[in-house]
Amino acid sequence: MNMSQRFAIAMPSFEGPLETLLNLIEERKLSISTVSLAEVTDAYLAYVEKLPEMPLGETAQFILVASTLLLIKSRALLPTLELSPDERESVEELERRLARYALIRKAARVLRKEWGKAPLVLARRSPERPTTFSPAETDVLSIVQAAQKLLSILPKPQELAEAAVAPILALEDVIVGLKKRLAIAVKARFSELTRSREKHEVIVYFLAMLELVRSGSVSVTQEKLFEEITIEAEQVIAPRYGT
Amino acid sequence: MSMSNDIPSRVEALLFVDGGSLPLRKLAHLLDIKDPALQEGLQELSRRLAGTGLTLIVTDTEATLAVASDTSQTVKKIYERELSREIGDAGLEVLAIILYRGPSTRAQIDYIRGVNTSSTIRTLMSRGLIERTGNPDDAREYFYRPTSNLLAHIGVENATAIPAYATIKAELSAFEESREKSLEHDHGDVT
Repeated sequence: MNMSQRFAIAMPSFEGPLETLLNLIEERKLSISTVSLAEVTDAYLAYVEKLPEMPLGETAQFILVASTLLLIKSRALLPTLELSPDERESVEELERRLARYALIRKAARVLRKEWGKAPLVLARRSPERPTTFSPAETDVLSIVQAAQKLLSILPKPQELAEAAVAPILALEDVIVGLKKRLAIAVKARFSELTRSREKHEVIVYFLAMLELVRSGSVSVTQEKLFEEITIEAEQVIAPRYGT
Repeated sequence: MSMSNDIPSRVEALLFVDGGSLPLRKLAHLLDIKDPALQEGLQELSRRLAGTGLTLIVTDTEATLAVASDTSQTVKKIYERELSREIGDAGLEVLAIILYRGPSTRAQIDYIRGVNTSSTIRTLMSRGLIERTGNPDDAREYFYRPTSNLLAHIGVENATAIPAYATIKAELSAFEESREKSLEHDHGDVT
């Protein structure tokens, strides 16, 4: 019952006239016959009166069955009442439909027992063949070549790392060296100091020189932009630090 | 090679590569054989699969490889969620009609149940439990049939293997015959 209610949420399905009638008969533990139909006619009519709003077609089905039931009931009350062939047929047809519906309900109960009890598991449905874009001229080799080309364009991370850790002159060492030199020579030309040096070493020398200027150890002169820089020791005394 | 013309093996191979299931028409087309030869091949494949971990489900329209019931408990755990499908009484009655009576039109199903069944049928279709095929006699109607999904779910290889099939089927056909008779002959008084 719980199950069918949950199912009903997904798909509203009406209890039809046959189902209603069969329920009434089974509730009373009767078999399907004109006698039992005559017996449940009142209960059926009472049910139909209380029917909720439903599509016209459904209501018509209920009324149709009701009319046949009334025919049966009248016949039961007035045995002398003659039924026309059509009326007889509709009575017989209702009985047949009920009996067949009862059989279907029985079959449904059989199925209920089997439902998912021992399923044959199907293969995981292979997904619909994916629409893969596969140009005819593509092969493994061309993909490898494309990958290699891409790699050659990319910056080499290893080389970058080497440049970053390449040994350069320590600023402090250069400062000490410069001071020593100036303590002896008093005066030096920047180009002379850095003659055999690499570019990045020249930068270190320049920084060292600036540092000495800042600390007041040396003074620097340059006549013109990009001309020779001359460095002079400020005081001719023994160096304050270094040996 | 001797295997190259073996229809059961080729059917098995085709079903395997296509994820377990193929329409019968497609199978016949791929193998370039007629329906009787295909049916024979399917029966033979079914026999060969006996005692293996697999079995063959055949409906009117398709053939499907499935895990045999002996082994299904082993793999059931993986699919627990998929398999725990509930179904209501209305749905089950429609399935009973289609399974025991045979392929049926909506009008027939409606008449047997005495109620409009279109929403139930829609739901069963969307759950893959039934499928519809055209009615060759009337283009305006469809026949609703059991799918291999449905057969697999109740654990049978074909529609005739469902419990009490012969008896319920016979009783149902008796109704249809008695109706035809009563339409032909005028009966005596109703008792």
